[in-house]
Amino acid sequence: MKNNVERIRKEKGLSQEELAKRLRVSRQTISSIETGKYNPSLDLAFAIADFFNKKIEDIFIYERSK
Amino acid sequence: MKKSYLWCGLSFIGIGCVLIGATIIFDTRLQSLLYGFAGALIGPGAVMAGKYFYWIMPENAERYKEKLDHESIEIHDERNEGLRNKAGRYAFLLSLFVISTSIVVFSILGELEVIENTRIIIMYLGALFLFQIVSLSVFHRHLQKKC
Repeated sequence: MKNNVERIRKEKGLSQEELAKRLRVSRQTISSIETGKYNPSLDLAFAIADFFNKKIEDIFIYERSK
Repeated sequence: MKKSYLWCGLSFIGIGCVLIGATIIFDTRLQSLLYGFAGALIGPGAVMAGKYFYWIMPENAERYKEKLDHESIEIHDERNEGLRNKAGRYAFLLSLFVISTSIVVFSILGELEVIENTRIIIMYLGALFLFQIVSLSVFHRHLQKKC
């Protein structure tokens, strides 16, 4: 699954540490999400979307396997 | 910091001191073991009491709040939880492998008379192996009903 977390975070001028604190997750979790190593749970995905005031599909892009 | 943390530390120190006293008064074969237990209680007890007095100091209040917050995030972080579960699964599989290999190794060493009385060790390892398999199945069924 691709995502735009890093781009949107940078647009908002936030560091990974700050975003992690706001979402109450570890900085490593944010880093892993941004690099695509970790797909967040629905809860966290919605929390991220709510925090950025965007729709979940604007942030997370599901790639169907061929 | 909760006062119960201090009381817990002081209790550890108290029980450790009682154990040392009992070891000195009563001549027993378990002397070294009791000294070990006493040390294992007094050491952490002193650390707990020390931590309590350190963190209740007014100048450390803000840092303590941050520390608690950080600990809470680390514990409840969903990625960390997933990694802990994964690590537990690997450790479980590895322990099954080590136990089953140990049963074979002890059986061979017993047959070759390198180690005497291997039967009790093999029986214990066999029981431990079964216990792990059964407990896995029990927990799995319990969680299936619950979730």
